[in-house]
Amino acid sequence: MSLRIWSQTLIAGFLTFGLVGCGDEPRHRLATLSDEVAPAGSEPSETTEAEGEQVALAAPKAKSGGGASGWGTIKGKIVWGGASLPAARELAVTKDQEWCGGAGPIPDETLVVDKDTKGVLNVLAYLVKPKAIHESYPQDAKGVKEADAKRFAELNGGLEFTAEAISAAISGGKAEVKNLKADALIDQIRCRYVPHAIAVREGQQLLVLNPEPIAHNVKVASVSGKNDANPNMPPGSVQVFKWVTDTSPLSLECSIHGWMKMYGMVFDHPYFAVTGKDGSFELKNVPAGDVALVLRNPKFIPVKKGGKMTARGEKITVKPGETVDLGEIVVTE
Amino acid sequence: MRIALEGLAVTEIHAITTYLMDKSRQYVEQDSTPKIPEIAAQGDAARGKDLFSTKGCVACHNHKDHPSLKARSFGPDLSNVAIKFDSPEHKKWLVAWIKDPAFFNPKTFMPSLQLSDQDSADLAAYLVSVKGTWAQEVALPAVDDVALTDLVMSIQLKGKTSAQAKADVDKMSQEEKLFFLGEKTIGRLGCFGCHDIPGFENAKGIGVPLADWGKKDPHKLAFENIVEYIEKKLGGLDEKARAEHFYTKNDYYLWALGHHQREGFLMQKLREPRSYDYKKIRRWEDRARMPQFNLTDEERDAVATFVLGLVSEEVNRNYVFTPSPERQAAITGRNLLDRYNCTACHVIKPGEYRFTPSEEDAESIAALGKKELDADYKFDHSAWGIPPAAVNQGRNMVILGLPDGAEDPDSAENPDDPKSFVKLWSATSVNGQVIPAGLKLGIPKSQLTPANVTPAQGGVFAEQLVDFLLAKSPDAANPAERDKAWGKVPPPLIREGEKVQTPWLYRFLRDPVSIRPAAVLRMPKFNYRDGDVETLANYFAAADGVPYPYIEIPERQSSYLDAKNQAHPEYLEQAFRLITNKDLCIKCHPVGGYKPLGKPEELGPSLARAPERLRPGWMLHWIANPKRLLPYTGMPINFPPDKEQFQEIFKGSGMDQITAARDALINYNLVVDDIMNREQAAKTASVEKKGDNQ
Repeated sequence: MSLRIWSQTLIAGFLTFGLVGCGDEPRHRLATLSDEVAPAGSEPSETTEAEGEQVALAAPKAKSGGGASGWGTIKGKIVWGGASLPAARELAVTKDQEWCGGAGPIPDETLVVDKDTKGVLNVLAYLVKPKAIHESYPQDAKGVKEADAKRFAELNGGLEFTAEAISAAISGGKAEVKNLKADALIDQIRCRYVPHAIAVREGQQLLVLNPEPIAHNVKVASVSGKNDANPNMPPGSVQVFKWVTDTSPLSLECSIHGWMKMYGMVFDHPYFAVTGKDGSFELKNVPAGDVALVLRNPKFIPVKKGGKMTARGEKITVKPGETVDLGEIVVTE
Repeated sequence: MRIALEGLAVTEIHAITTYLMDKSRQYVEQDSTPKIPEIAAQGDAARGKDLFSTKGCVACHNHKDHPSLKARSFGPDLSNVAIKFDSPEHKKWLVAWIKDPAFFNPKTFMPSLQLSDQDSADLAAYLVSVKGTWAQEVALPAVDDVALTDLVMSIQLKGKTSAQAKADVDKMSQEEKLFFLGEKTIGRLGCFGCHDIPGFENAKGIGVPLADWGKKDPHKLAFENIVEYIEKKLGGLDEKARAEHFYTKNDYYLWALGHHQREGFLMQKLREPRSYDYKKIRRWEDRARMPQFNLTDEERDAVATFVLGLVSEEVNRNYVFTPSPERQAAITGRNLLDRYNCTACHVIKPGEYRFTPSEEDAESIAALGKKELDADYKFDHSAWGIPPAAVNQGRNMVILGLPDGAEDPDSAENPDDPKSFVKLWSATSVNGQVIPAGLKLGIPKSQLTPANVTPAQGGVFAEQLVDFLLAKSPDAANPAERDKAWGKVPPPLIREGEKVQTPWLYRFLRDPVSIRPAAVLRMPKFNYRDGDVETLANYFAAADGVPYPYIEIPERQSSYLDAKNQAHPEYLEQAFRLITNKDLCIKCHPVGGYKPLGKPEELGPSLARAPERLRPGWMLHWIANPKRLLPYTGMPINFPPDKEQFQEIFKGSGMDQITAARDALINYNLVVDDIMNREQAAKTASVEKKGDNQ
């Protein structure tokens, strides 16, 4: 399968993990966090699953033919098809250079291709308006919220998932910003958002950390205006966002450090993923029958397959109990 | 011999041309004539083309290269202007004119756009590089000697016998005849009414005096064959065209014309001045002379209303509109905004949109409004709330705001009826819930009918420039880009009176300094007529119902500061630490010796200007939640009500910190002075101490 339209010139940045020259500083979290924190979707990464801490928020093992109409899996891998890897570009650090540029240059993450696997990172893969939600997932936002709260408490020693409780714990010395964990978590590391793309389900809270010694702000802009906000983030502070379902990606930016940009998306169902290091994604327990799949790139341009795939989605037929493997989906400029 | 009417008209054109050419003098430079300023920069036409869009030229001038940026033709269309600048001297003049029009004409309405030499040269280079469609050669028939003699004869006959007249005419050369006829024709048609023409300096206007036209006896009006003319004209139309005709839609005027009323006469005179000649036998020079002005139906209606009101009678004072000084200031100021074309760039009033969201949408709008207000400070202000009695319990919404993009149909919740978005500049309500300003609401396209939308007043250029900048952005689909583009264009002046101190605005209009680092163009410097600056500065305050021109600033009063110092020792100095803390204001705003780094769009205005520029009440609201007052701003909420932050810098609640930051800024001079005095004292003390040790 070949994907044609990444119409703009996409510029690569490498999420190369040797990026941070740490010197004698404590090992920088950039190296660990990218591995540690699963893309905050419903789909568990191998790591989190191995930790055996799954709650209902994430997909359990697929049941064969669970539900009346049956359920199946869709998977695929988005890979770079260009003759050579896209040229790496660095962002111009125009403010707080000492801190922001202190661990080396900040890569432009508009298009990130892993140099080993040629996988394209940070692509949103999701279904549009699925007909049903598998019983293993919470059925609605309320269910998601309960599961999310429970999971957060488990990850953080019983801490309540509210901005007030977290702030109180931090100022009381009972929690440290850098050690907080959440399935949906945005960290700010040397004036860079980690991860660069995030997807959440409505009801799931998003934890934003500023463990840095400098202030940031997070301006969330959405096409619909439903999730717009612009709080400041003093050093050592956290923010908790409660996003509602939106049909277009959200933009997150720091107005102070204009180069800091990332994007996110919110769904009212669990069938979404953000491609990781090898460009692969897997949507488990999707309702059998015809579903609409969207692959969306960082520049808010819908990835189109053969010129047909739009934000409305590409029709894919899923048979009960089977896995639809889309194989390598080749992306070129 | 009968001469075709066209032939006579052409002969008159030849005659006028001869007269004007004969009377024209070569321009001779006097010693006192100022020399065209030398501007050395070499122009780059390609750059100039972009500047033409971004520097505001299109706010007044149309140009065929910029069809999407449609001005309201305040200045002339410049598509064909190149032909006027065909010598190096002319081009030099154009650069100098663009740079500083007032140098050549102190009364020109074209402002100084505060351009650099290079920008001026680039713009000039662009304008002269566009090949226009001027000047086309018009094939004009040669002078028809018979027609010329006939026309001259006709004039000479007045007061002479035909033999005398013929003898006089026979003595004239063709050139003399043309000159003679030209002078008479200019006098007859009244060209000098609008143009300065040598020889007509003292000529009187040719039209009927209008001072008391409104009570003119209708019997003195020559209706002639007008009814027959109109009947024939309307009769010649097909049914559809007749139904659309002005007189069908406004049958009052038709009735008034048929019944020989002033109103009917006047409207038809404005519509087709020369139709009163219909089927009349007149001498060539006795025909009706009023030209057909290019007016719209609405404009004719306005002119007619005015002229009918000219009855030269004192109006009973009870019926004369006598507004309060504030109302008067708002009215005259509003007129000036159009006179100087301020409204091309600046939004003066947001648009009004009336729509009914679906039940589901109304619920989510109400939920969003509640979420926003729950997390916000409570202010009695139109951006935060509306009077309880006005809260709408149902779903029908009326919102005041500015358009903010549209949904991509593919991503729309309802692809058949995608939404357009509006950012609220004023609070509204739905389902009994107040919705504050700053939020973005979606309106289904199907409901965006002209009947449901009252567009914003002013700012067409700003909106177009936003679209222009977005189209150039490599990240145009990112919803954050539109906000950033708004930060670069002429700002809406909604609540400007509430925001700025009137004396500052007066000085700013006289000398517009650069305020926002991100702006791609400067506020122009206009050549204001006497008193206009005061009127404009007062307008904004009057329109917002705030005091002017004298403004009380209680936060500067010693009693206020004493009380604050009681509660919070070293109040202002402590408060100033909020401004200069590395994680707060100076992150983006230059102030007190700090100059933040960053790209222009990452920076805010210098805070050193704040104490003389901003009103203290506005500052408080602004710091509390900037997007309520400026929905596109990038400035975050720095002191939220629900979090205790920056306690080590200034102890207190969020509102205490907001108030303190505002007080420190409004007392900026005092604070800086205090700090410098303290440093000086410390230095002196340490020097004395050192002295003791030795």
